[in-house]
Amino acid sequence: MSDRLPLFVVTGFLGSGKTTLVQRFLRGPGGQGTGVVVNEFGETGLDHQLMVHAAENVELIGDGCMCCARRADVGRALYDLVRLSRGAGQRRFARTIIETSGLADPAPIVGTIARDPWLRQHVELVSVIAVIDAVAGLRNLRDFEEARRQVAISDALVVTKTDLRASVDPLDIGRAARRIAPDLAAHDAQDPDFSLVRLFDRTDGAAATRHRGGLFAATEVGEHDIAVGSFTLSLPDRIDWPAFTLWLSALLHRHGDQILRVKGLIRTSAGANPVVIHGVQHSMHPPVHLLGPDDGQKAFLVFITRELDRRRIEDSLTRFLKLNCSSARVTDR
Amino acid sequence: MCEVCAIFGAGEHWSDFGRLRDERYPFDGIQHYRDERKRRIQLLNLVLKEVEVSCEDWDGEALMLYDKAGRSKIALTLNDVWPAAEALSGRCIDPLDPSFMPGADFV
Repeated sequence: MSDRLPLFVVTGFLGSGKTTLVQRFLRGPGGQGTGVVVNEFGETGLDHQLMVHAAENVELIGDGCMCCARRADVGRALYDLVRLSRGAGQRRFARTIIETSGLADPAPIVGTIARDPWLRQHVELVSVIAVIDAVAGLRNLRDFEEARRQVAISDALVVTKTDLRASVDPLDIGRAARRIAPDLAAHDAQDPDFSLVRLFDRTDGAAATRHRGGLFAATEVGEHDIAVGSFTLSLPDRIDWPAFTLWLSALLHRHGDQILRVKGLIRTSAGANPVVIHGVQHSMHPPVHLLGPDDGQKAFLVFITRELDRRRIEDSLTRFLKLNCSSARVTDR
Repeated sequence: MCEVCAIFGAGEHWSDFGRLRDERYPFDGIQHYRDERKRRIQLLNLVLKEVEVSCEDWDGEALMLYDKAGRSKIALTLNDVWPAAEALSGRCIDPLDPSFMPGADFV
């Protein structure tokens, strides 16, 4: 699995500074060997030899649920990049970045990778990064569902334009974003300690960051004035993996369109190591196993939902985990 | 591995990756996957009983669902079980419904 091409999705509302951020990374140390897929040519314009343009093309399938839509353009572009990277005499790409258009919903991209067997084998979605600008960001979050969905589906947030006079405090933006996604790791692009190399690093971007860097330092969020809500469930120390997967799979089947994001850290009957799980709407990604010594962080699940009651989800999980099956439990051998 | 069909039987669905696989020998722990699969099917039957559907393993790679009349549907992964069961039973499976699984046996 480690042979897969690491993929980072950079999303963000119109004019948030996505292209500038990507360009800054490509031109800086660590940006070499990066393939880029863009959906639109923005004002800034990327000048990059490994760039593929994919005209945004969303195919709605099934009942029209956005996360089940297939981004044929993204599938094709990634296929081309993997082939290019693996061609004879080619140096393999270190990573690929997809920069979405400003109004794009990242869910179909995530879903396309999760559902395509070939892409699953060859591409590893490391993280979804939301870019939000410190001037118009708060207003966009308040006024536009697209902006809220982009934040809800993301693992990390980069606040740009914090050096402009009209900018608001990045902490306020971080707080507003965390009301949508409580475990979001927020970065100020102007902070001298902010490292794009770490942001686009496979190990830092994946489980390690999520685990140690505070992405999972989720806190309960109280009442708020937006349709998207989030909550954290504490879990028992070790849960029955078959029962848990059964429950989550059934839950996402029935209510996936209302579950923008589910992620968590769990310990299961299937193995000794803690496991990080994450999914977007109807699509789950293969779990990430945290290697090394277990630091004992408590197990939990974070849900980012639209109009779904926490109590119902908690009660349902409790009932499934108590299902009595007479067979011996699967043990760690 | 099934030597006739060349099916390994460890599964490629996200739910089949509860344990870290050895990349060089992914099927080393095949007995673990089989035990886990067996338990998942037993649990599935407890859940599907509510919509009068039953489920059997199909060569360690897919699941076969039956209704009371004997009609069947194949579900390739756990994701496919729910729409298949709903199609066979004509009923909706909602794990959040507090009245779902009233007769199930809980520990």
